[in-house]
Amino acid sequence: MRQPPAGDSTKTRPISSRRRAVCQAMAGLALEPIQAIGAPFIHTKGRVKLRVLGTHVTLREAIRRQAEQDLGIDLVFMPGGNAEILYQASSDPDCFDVYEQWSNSIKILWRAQSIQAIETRRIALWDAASDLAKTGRLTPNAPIGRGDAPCKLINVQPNGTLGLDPTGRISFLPYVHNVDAFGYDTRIVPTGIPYETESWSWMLNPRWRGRVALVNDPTIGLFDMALAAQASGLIEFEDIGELTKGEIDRLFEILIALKLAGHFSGFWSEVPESIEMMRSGRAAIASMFSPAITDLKESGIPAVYAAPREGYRAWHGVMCLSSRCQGRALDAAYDYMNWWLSGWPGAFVARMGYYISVPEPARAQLTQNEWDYWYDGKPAATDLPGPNGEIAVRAGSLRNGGSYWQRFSNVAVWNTVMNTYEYSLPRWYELLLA
Amino acid sequence: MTDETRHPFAGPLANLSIGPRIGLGFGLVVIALIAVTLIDHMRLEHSNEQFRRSEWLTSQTDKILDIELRMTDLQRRVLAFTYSGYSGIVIRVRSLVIELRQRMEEVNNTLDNPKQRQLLTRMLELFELYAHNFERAVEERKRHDRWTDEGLTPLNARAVTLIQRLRETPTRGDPAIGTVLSVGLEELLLAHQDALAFQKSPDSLLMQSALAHLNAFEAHLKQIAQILRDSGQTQSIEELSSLGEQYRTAFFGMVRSTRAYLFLIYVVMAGEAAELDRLADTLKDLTLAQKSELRRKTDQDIRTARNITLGLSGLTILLTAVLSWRIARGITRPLILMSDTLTRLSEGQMDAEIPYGDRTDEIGAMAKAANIFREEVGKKQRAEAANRAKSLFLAHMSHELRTPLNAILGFSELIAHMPSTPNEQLDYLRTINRSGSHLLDMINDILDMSKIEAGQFETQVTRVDLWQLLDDVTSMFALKADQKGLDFRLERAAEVPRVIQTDAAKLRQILINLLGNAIKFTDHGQVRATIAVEHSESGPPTLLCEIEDSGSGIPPDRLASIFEPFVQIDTSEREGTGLGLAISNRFATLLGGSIKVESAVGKGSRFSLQLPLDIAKQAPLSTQAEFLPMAQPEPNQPAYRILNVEDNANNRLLLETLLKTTGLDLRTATNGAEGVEAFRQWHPDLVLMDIRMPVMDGLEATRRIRALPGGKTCRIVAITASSLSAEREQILSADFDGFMSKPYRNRDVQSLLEQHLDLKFKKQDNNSEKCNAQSGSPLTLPKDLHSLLTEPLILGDAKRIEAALGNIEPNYPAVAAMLREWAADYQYQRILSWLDDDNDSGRTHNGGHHPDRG
Repeated sequence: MRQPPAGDSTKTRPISSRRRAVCQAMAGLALEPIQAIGAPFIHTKGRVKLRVLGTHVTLREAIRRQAEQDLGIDLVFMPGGNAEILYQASSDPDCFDVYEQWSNSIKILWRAQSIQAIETRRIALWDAASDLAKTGRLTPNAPIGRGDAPCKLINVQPNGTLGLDPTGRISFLPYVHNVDAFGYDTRIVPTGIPYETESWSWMLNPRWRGRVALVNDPTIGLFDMALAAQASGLIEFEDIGELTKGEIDRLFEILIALKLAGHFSGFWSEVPESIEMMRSGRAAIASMFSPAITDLKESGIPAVYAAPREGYRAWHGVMCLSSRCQGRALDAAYDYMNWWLSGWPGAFVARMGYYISVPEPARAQLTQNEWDYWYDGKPAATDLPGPNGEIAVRAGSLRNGGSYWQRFSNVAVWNTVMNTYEYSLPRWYELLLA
Repeated sequence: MTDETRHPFAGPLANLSIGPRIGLGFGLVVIALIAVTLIDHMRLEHSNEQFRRSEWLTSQTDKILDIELRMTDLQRRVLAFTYSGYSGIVIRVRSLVIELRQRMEEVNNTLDNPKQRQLLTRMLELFELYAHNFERAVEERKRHDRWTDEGLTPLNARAVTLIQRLRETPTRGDPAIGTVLSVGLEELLLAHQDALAFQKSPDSLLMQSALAHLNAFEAHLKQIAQILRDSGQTQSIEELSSLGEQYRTAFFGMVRSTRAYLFLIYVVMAGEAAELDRLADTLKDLTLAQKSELRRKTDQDIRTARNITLGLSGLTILLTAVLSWRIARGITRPLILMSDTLTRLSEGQMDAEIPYGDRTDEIGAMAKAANIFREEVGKKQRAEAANRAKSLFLAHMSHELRTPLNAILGFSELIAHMPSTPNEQLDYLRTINRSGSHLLDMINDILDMSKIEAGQFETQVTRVDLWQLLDDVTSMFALKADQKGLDFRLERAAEVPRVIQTDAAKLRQILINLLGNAIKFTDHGQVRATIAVEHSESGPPTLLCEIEDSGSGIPPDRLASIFEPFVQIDTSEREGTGLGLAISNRFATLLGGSIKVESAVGKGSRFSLQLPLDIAKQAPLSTQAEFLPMAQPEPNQPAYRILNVEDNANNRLLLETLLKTTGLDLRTATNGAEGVEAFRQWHPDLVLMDIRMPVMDGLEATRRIRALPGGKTCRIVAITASSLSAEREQILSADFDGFMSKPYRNRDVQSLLEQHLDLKFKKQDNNSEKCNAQSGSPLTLPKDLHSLLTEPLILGDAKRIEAALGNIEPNYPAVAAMLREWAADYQYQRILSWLDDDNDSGRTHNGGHHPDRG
């Protein structure tokens, strides 16, 4: 039985209580979050130490080792749960140098002034980056998608807000991205046809009662449910990217009723948890992140990442600089960010099913078969390996949803922090503990 | 014969001894029982254990339920904190956290199921996260409060104050400043309002609105700053601007903290709590599953154990049954059969089958013993048969031998008594008689000997009056000794008891034999019989009878062999069968004693008979004679003088005792000489004279007394033990007035006194008469009955003798018994003698003065 792809080697560790305490202590020293001068950070003689706060999705041991090797720096990965690291980053920018998560954290982090703008001129391949993040459309006719499309968040406007107009300063470096849906165990849930039979409504189908799991994050899981509820015809939203209080109330009514009926078998906070849930049979259908599906496949469980006909829930990975990052660490951070777009990481994450903002360098690192499968949506000519080297894709299988471009033409909504975010919190709590 | 030994389960066990076999059998049963007990015990222990475990599981479930309860409580309080921020709740939550942790650890320590441990470990992990997150939430809340209380509110207040001041300050120029200030103030207040509203009900819109207002406020301030010239005011504006910055910072801080702790509580902690709940439920389910599994197992175990117990018990019962059957078959039945066989054998059924001869255990041993028993019994029977045959032969032969002999003796006697028999023929007849007697003696001896050889003599030990016996025996030979001119004396030691336990007949025969020999083989000199008691340190005293003679003696080389049968010392003219000593020796041995001999040729011999002395209890001094007290003479009669001349102290005592009560004057003398002297001095009226006495015997003493003055008128009565008619003749011719035979009874003494002294006695009652009659029925037979016996005796016709005795028996049972006893032994001569004596009118003889004296 394979270990879930958690980052647990010497240099990657979850946010331990001790670390937290240290960060806390440091934070507690200051009444005001912004110190004028001398925010303490860790000095290292010789090699720079770069602390990266993120999730298990991108903070992988293989990547870390490769980066260390390629960049000659000491990389400290600090993976954690979505909610965890978001909170950590927003409350304590001293804890990290680089922050990796998704675009739905940008608003919170920007408003909390935990991150600083990135100069695009220091990003070597900025121009080669795809339009998805810059304009919002990968292909000319693709819908932008509701909610916080990254293009709306990326440009730092002169007044400090985030907006569509490019200014040469961005709030995040777009790198890894993907369209998400739900995953399902084909041993239990019969395989559907992408974009036709596969539907978000499956998640609320009473047939799977007691075997549905959600991600414990209102900015992600709620959208899964909103899409599912809308797809099931239970509710209709004005703007699924900006739910109103009333809509939220109604949605939660439905969800809580389902929870009481025992529809949901669990809420997961970290990717390994989600893998375990599906592996143990606790969930047959669940909010999933792509690498989890790959992992399950590698360990022989026939999981499928759906391609719902209503469209995907898209997300864009973000690399942010801590507002406290400076000096050598800052330089190292830029190196690290550039390295991410340089090809090897892009190829690595491709095998997880992720796309990268600058595809061509990654393509060079992939075999033709791999490129065909992962990006072009063609059937796998041979067995293809996953990020850990195990066979993840059987020869002849097809990437669900088709090619990169096809998939990103079917975005329904982006992971978003809505205005009713705060309102949704207590509701979410109710749902969890119903 | 049923082949019992070949029954199905014989095998090697049949050769084992019975004890071990039974032991083995019972051992097996015991083992089975022990096994049952053990299993039962184990079952109870096991059940007990399972029960305990069940209880433990229940307590575990309870603990987990408790944990769940507390967690619910915890969440409730956390939620309460979310709304109120009240520090009291924090304290309560913290203590709940500690409690829960304790309880979870407690449960963790007692769990033994790895799956459960895993669950609980995860629970503990999550719980720690939860607790930690709570602390962070509290922190954030504090920060939020600080932002508000130390930031927003005072900042706002200061700003407002400042603006107010500014407004009141008169300004040079632009009234627009005042307006702008007012608008700015408005914006500030609105922002603050939004901020406060946000606190109450967090909403991104409110935040955005507040920001917008703050931005507006900033904008207005800039506007004013451009217009103002006054440095003082400009400073204030700058101050305001700075305040505005600070306010913005505080606001962001507040917003962030709010979101942070809300997020923590609503999302992170909620997720953890939900998972904790789920884990607790799973744990509980596991425990319950364990419990029901345990229950199921317990039931099964009980059933199994019960089955085993039942099975074993059944087995034990079966085993016991089999055992009983086997014991019955293998032991009880053979025992019964064997017992039957033995019984039959002992009853004489020699043809009874002896089963189980080839078994090698106790039963087999019994069979072998039974076989031997049967052989022995057979032998015994054959021996008995042989003996009987021998005895029959002996009896027959003795009868055949004696019958003609008796005829010879009888008829020769008859002829001898016929007056017409010439003297010459008398001699021949005497010879015939003597020879015949001798032959009879020899036949008797031979028969005795063969009886001894056949082991048919038994000792009949009774109480015997030893003194009487000795007197009898000695008086038998007194005459013969006298005729031969021998000095024959019996000396009896004083300590020799009167009554002993012995076989009288045999003792008598021994003494007769020894004395007879002594007298026979002594021509001149003396024969002395000494009776004494010999004491030894070890063992009982012995009776010693020494018969010493001054005869020819026995050569030393013959000494050893004289006790052998048919060995005679001197075969010349001595008569004898040669069996006497042999018989005496045998008899002595039978009585538990021995005979020794010492002899010197020409000097004499001494034969010593030693017998173990079995002193009979001190019996009444006399035999049957003293059942009743002596009769009393009637009063007013003269006190006659009676002289008792008796050497035997006991006899003297006897007479004394008898005459004591009569009031008569009694004196005694111990021998003849003393008696004469006593007579001379005392002049008694009646003399009771014992015959056999030392120094001077009764006959001589009587002669002397008669020669004395007054001697002729005195009554002298002879007291004699002898029943021989010859001696009686002698007594009568010796000038006695009468005689009394020993043993005498009071009645005899009474009639003596009546007769010779004319003493009258009182009548005694019937009882005494009867007793007297019974105890000492006078062994006498009426004359007319004598004839019944005489002829058959002479002819030796045993059948007719028996018939005659049968006729006598009804009226004279004692006599008949006595005679029968003698007849059985063919002592017909003895019977005839007795009849003669009886003819002489019984015991007391009314002699009076003998007419033919001289």
